Amino acid sequence: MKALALEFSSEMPSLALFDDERPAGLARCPDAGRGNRALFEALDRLLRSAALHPRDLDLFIVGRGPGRYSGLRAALTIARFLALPGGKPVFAVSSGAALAAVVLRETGGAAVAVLGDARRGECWYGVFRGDGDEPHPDAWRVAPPEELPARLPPEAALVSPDYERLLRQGVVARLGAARWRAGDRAPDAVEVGRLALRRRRAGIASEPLSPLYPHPAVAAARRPPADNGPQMG
Amino acid sequence: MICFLGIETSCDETAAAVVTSAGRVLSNVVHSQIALHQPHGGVVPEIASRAHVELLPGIVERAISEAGIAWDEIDGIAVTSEPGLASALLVGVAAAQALALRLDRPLVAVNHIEAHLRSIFLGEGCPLDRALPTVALVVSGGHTCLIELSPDRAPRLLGQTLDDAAGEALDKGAKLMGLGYPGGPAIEAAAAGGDSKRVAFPRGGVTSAIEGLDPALCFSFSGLKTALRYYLRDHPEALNAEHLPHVAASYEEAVVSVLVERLESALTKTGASQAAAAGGVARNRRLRSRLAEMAARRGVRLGLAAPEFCSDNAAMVAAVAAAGFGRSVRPIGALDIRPTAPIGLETP
Repeated sequence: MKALALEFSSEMPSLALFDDERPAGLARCPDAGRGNRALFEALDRLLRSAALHPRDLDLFIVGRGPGRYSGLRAALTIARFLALPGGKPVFAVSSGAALAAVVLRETGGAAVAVLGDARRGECWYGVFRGDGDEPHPDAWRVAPPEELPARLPPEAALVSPDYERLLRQGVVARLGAARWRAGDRAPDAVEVGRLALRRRRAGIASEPLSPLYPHPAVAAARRPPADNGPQMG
Repeated sequence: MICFLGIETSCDETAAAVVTSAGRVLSNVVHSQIALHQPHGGVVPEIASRAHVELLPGIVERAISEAGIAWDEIDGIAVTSEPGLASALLVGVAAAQALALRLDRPLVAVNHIEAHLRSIFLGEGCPLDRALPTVALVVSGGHTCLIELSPDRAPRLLGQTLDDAAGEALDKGAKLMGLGYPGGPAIEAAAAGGDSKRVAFPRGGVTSAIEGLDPALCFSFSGLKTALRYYLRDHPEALNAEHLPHVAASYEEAVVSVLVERLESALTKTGASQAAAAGGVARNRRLRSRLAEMAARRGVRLGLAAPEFCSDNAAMVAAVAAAGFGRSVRPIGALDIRPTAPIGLETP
């Protein structure tokens, strides 16, 4: 079985090929800006290197964020339309869960929180527990930075694709610099693909084929502090 | 039979269609997002792009199924890439790129205004002779312009709005009158039985136009909306059931009469023997009726886009490519959106 994974949630988008569940190639497209030129060039490189055509692929895997809206929309749309003519399956996982799996494996810890800048003065976050093979997610939520210390378990390691931005915003210091895996950390398509393939093997269903948006499309009234906030996705 | 799949996501309609090179529309699926945008009184770009991501795969599948063809019978993919809402255009373009890659088919980038022009010829019974010069009015919520179509040259932009589009003026007017969204149909309904001469709203004359364009063929609707606001402020009774039909009819007439007058001026200035209208506002019954009167009086042929092809749709997008127009894109990744692209036509 040949699979293509697309992970465009961060400013370091990537694509990966899998052959019988083994990674068979990774292409990064760091210069992807507006438009999809770099993404399709990377896809072309990746497929050529494996002498494959999109019709040869049996499964499309996609990271659904949270992260850059334009990247998430591109990834989901490209995956779904590559899959559509052959009626091939599309499997979505949260990009943050894939990142959590990596950090749990690296740290050997029991918990990790993945955070990001949700704009509008808030952060998105998800707390994961597990042994690294299958991080068990709590819901993705949104909260203002001042509420994060009370919401994140004190034992959790912290990681973010927006680390540098959160550092400038004072969020890193507020939560204790020593708890962080420093630097912007985004999952790549290999990690997203691995998580999706593990879940499929375990009989776990795909997450919804839609981006994880931290906010509703139209700004809502500010929530009262006691409100736990809506779940994302 | 050559078949083009068209995809349109430039604003708040999610649409796909299949059209043959002979101009036959095999399918035309349009999902209007009006209900999503209605509570906000206008199109919210973020809502539009989220909905496109969710809806487009199903819409395209339906277009293929209703056309009664298989995927490998598609000969090319056409997509609106300009102008429009950036985040909305990106969804359609990504879909078209992926399909073109998967199916190994050419990708054609289409200008939205050019697609509206093509809609005049879609469907049965278009009275226009393509060999004769035509002045076309493209009028919608996002665009208001006059374009000259000639058999031996590229479409030529004659005039356009300097501020609000006509559809935007209707939306804003309807909002001021508490009539809801979209404004055109709401005002049309409210104006039923009203006296269109009751309130003398301004006709938006233009003295200095965009460079290269004739001011007499350009439009301005921002003053009209302001005039309505002041009228409603000074006449609190205007919104009651007795007066509202007259106010709505007068406002609608102010928009429609300018559109008809400018189109007639363009016919005079160019000597064209045919007139046409397309775009969402071209569904308006008062406008269609006034244009028919003007055409009959002048003895020119009139081609109006069929109502089902007035609002944004993908049949008009596919039709551009099926007729051999649009911009062929190779490699497919090279297609970039141009949200604020000019109309993309030759100017005088």
